[in-house]
Amino acid sequence: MYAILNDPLELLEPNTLGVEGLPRLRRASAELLSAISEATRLRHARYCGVASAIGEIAVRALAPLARGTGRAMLTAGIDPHQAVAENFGMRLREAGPRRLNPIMFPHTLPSAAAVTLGAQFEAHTCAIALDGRAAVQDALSLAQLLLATNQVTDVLLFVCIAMAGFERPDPSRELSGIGVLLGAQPFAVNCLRVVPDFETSLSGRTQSSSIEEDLRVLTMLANRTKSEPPEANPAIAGGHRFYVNC
Amino acid sequence: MPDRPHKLSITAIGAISPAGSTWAETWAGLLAGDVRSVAADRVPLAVPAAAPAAMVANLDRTTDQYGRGPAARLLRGAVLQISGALDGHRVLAATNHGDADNQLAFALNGESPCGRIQDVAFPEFGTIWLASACTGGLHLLWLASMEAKDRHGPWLLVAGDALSAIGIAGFQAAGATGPRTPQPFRETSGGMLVAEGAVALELRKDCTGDVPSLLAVSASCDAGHATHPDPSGLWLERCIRNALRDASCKPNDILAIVAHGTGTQLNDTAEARAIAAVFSGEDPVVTSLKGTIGHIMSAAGLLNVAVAAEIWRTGRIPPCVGEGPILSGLKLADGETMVAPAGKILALASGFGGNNVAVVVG
Repeated sequence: MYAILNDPLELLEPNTLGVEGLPRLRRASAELLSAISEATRLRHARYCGVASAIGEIAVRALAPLARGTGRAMLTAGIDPHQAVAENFGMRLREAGPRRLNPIMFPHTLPSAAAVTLGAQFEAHTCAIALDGRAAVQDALSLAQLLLATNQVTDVLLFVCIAMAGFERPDPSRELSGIGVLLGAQPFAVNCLRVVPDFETSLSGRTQSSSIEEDLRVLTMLANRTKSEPPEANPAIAGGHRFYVNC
Repeated sequence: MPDRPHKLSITAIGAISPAGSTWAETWAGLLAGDVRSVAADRVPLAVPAAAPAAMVANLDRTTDQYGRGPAARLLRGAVLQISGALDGHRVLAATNHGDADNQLAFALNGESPCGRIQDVAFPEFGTIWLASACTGGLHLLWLASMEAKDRHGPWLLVAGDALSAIGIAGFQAAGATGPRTPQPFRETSGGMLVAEGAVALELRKDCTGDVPSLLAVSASCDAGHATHPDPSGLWLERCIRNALRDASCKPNDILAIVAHGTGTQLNDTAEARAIAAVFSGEDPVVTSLKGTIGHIMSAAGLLNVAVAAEIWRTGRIPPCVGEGPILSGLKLADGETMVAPAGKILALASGFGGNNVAVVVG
């Protein structure tokens, strides 16, 4: 269920972590940021948070599977914008307000990745970011609610734990994200059906302890591809996850 | 077509704003129409403010022992005004930059580490946090209205932000602020006034009696530019039309509109076009609160709904301050305006990234 895209992602190579099918950005002679910028088609990628940049790759992989026109974009993660905001503040102090790049400002908001990716996904119903420790579960609940109340036909959820700033990635941190597509109608590809108690099926807990753990469980669930008979329940089309190790 | 929402009523309002430290004070200040702008050099922030702003009076901007900064205080202060103990309330919250200024102060100077607002604002109960820029508060409303299908509530919605150097400088860098106080929907308006504040609403299902209710909540998204709205106002227009449809009312049923009206030409032109397109030939009174107390960010939409509820109760509409030619021929509230109480009122909000939300209160 991991879509490896073509020429824009020539930098991708089979990962060396021993986990099959997970692409990994190669450490090239160019800086990591340049590598990500080249991999994503995001305009002004350099000024966006990492979540937006790697999320765009996931959106590109999954958007063709969305068949409806009522679309929503949701993101879940902790502070993917925080480092951008901090960097913006430091530049403000060092150079003053007149030397600020206005392109950076919208990416200091917690909703930045959601609206950036929402534009890519043509999400004309909403683009919302969920935050807090239970953000993944909250986002999945909201996605199912949007589908169940016929507000949308497709919801693309991007989960990211890329806490590192785009301009100052921490070499010791792992940046990763997963995009999953939920739809009102079953998908043609093999997919995982979301059961009504999906929230509790996330590692069998009723309360989330961390986004990192939920991300791991979500990845595990997305890995299990099943062929289900067509039903009205929402289904996850699949995920696109990759690691960036500096 | 979306399912029709279950009826939720607004049973309590709390607010802290540049107009006052309670909802009653805020409402009185909005009716008076006194502009609350403060010069940039009087705004105490981690980095000197780049433009004027509207401040909450006497707001403690330090970080306390729990890691709470002024934004967390605003949120808690608004919630505390909701009468009665929280009894099984489902708590939904929204913020933009939150306590970014205190976090910046820590990053720059090592002053008092400020916690993430999602962790420290309401540690005593579970809270769903979302962010969608200036539509955050109304997306909470939308979420509650969808949840009402299967949940009994009650709900407590709260949104708020404190002033931050990043926010003020960012809006200035984006060309959104101006040298004068904002004059929403005027051709000569030069920009918005950044402000701070928090609003809390209590919603209950199946209320009887004389209370304002949410007849419809509709959402759309331009899905275009990161900051600029769709200049045609198309997606906002669709959002308004869907809200009217879901509320089973025609344009001429709407007596008043509490618009987003930031005072920037980009927002106001697009919003005026959308309103004019939907209400062509009708004459609802249009007002914006942002000429008086500025733009309180994530709480702006909830403030508009709170005002819509008061208009429903009293028939009194706060003025839309400003002078000069009016965009798209809108009928603006010139001074305090009266309409018949218990009518249908439309509240709007739009945000960075193109999110729009329309609410019909009646």
